[in-house]
Amino acid sequence: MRVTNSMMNNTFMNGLKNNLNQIYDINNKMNTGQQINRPSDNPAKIAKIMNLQNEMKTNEQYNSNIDDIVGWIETTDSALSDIGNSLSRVKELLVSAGNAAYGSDERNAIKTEINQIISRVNSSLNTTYDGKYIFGGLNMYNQVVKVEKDANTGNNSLSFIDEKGNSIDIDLTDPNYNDLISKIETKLESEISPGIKVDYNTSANDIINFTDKNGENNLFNLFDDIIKNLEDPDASLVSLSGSVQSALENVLNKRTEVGAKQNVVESIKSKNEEIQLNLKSLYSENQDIDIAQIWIEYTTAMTSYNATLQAGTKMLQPSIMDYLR
Amino acid sequence: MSGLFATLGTAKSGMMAQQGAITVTSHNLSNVNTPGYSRQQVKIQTNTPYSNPAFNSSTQPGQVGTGASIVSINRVRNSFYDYQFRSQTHKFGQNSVSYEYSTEIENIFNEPSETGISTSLNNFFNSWHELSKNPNSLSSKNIVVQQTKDLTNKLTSAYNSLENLKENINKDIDTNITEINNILSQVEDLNTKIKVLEATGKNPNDLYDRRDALMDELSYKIDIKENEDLIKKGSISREDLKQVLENGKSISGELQGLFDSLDTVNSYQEDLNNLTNVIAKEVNDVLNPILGFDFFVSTDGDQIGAHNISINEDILSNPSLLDLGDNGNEIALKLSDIANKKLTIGNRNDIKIGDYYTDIIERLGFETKELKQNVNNLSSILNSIDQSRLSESGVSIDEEFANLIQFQRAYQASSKVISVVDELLNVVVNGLVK
Repeated sequence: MRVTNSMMNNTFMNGLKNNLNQIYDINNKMNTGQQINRPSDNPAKIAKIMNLQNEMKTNEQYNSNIDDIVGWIETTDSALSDIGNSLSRVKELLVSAGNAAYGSDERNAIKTEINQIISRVNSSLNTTYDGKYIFGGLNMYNQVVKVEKDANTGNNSLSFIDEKGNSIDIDLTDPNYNDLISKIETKLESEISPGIKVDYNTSANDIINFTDKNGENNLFNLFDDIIKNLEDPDASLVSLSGSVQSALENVLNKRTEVGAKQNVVESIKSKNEEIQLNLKSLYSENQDIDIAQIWIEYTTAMTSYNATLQAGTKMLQPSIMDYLR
Repeated sequence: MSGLFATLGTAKSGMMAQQGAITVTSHNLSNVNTPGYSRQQVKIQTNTPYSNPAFNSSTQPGQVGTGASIVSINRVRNSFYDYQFRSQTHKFGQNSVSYEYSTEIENIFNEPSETGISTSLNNFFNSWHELSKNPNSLSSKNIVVQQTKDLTNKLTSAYNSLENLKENINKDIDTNITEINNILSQVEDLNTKIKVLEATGKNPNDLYDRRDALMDELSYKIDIKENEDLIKKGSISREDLKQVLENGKSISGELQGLFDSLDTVNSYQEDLNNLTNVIAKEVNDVLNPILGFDFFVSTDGDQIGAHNISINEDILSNPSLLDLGDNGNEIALKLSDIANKKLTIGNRNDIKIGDYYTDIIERLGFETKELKQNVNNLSSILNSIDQSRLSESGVSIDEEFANLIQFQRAYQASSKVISVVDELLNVVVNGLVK
């Protein structure tokens, strides 16, 4: 074949172009740390990478949801524990008040303490988490119950409270009451894993209402009855202490439920974290460069680039003119 | 035998022939880097020999040569390579232009990245999770509004960038048509000149080369063979091209690549519109009964698409209007659930919003990669044809130099003959009489 100068030049330029393209590619990968920088780099993998990216993001959202729920549930648990303690104390007081040796002074002292306990239960029922009343259901931005002090007797009494701050009596025929209760009883849900939604709130109604041996009862009435009976030296406190026991058991039941919920959520969280780790390693496998490998590729490309340059300059330079006088 | 003076003439013809050859060599060397130049060769022939009219001619050993002269100067070129070259250039032109614009589209979509539409889509749906936990909180509403704004911005800006790209392509088509017409008028001009010269029996080598170079250039832009009729008209217009395309034929070349790119960009715009429309519809269907107005609105009153989608201005200026009512928790979850719903988008059934978008990008990736491979393949094919052509027609400096020395020596030899004849004549003129 006849070889001309333009051919030599073209071949050299092509080789140079190819080598530089390769180096450019490697440079790009090294700088971004990613194997795939545009869809055409590897169209078969691009969908996978985008999906992994999104799944990781969504999973992070799930974990943040779980963290919020766990916080909420822990707060619920401690509030329930407070209420439980309060009720236990009430029961103790009632038992001691039943002691025949107790006179009216002691009974008055007990009544004062019970009044304090009512305030405590009030604040427990109005516990907030992140600015939301945890026992309020959908009514989470409003106080759930309020305590009212009778101006004459100084006794505390609990009741539900509406958005405007008016107390709402328990009255099944009152539409305002029913409306409020349906809000309070609504389950709040959050998605914590693809397709898995959990409700995480405990309704105030479930804590307030309980069943004793006489049937349906509620904490508001119970406290009112206790105060009333304490004021009456002849009234019996024994039957009331049974009701307190029932209320206490109800609270403990709720606490067990909450604890179970917490366990479920936490186990899902640890699973989610495991999934997240898997996603990350899968993503890294598909997208991250192998530094050692890319470095070797770089060295190879550089070597061939240098070789082309050297060969080119050596071969293009000389001509017959160098040997003519 | 002819006389000494005849020998002088013979030597002179040799000198002139060699000098002509040196001129051509010099021309070759001057054009060693001229694109499209084919090396030229002088054809030197012996002059018509001379029969000495003499009485004793019967014993003469044949005719006497009268030297050499140049009969023609030809370019060395194999038109088969030209034919081969031009049968590939239009494919290369088409693919390289399509590839160029395909990478532009890739740049516009900017995937995979932390800032692409995919991420915004995901953030948008995740923001409803936050709102589901705090349906009344202004900061959660703000998050939703900001993520929505981000999503609509991304969609609109991608759509508008594609629109700009279309404008560029259209400008490119016009430029190409102007260039083609320019080439065609130059070729026509050359043809007239060549005809005149050919009629006078000359070989207009350099004009041939120029015409071939122009045809090479033209062959990148359009398939010359298939569109002979169009080219023979001497000038083409956009309407002509449209007519060809409407007849279902391909014009090939860069022009075809540009028209194809227009279609491609249009199809991605349509995909974006379909995607946007479904998102807006699904979200509005859930939110309209609760808010009493649309969450996503169209800025120009037409059907909502990527070009005109916007979040309701009132909500944007006052996020607290995003009041999901008493059952905010459930509504917000329903909205975040849209991401997992299998929907009908465009002509695809049972597909999730995110998957539809991923499919778009995947298709873009495959298309671009195929074009890239085509460009690489065609460029190496073209390269090897061009190498063959250069092997035949290219100027080799070494060769020309060797020739130059050959011609130089021959010239020197002929001039030496003249000096020898001069000496001989000196003997005759001055030496015979003492």
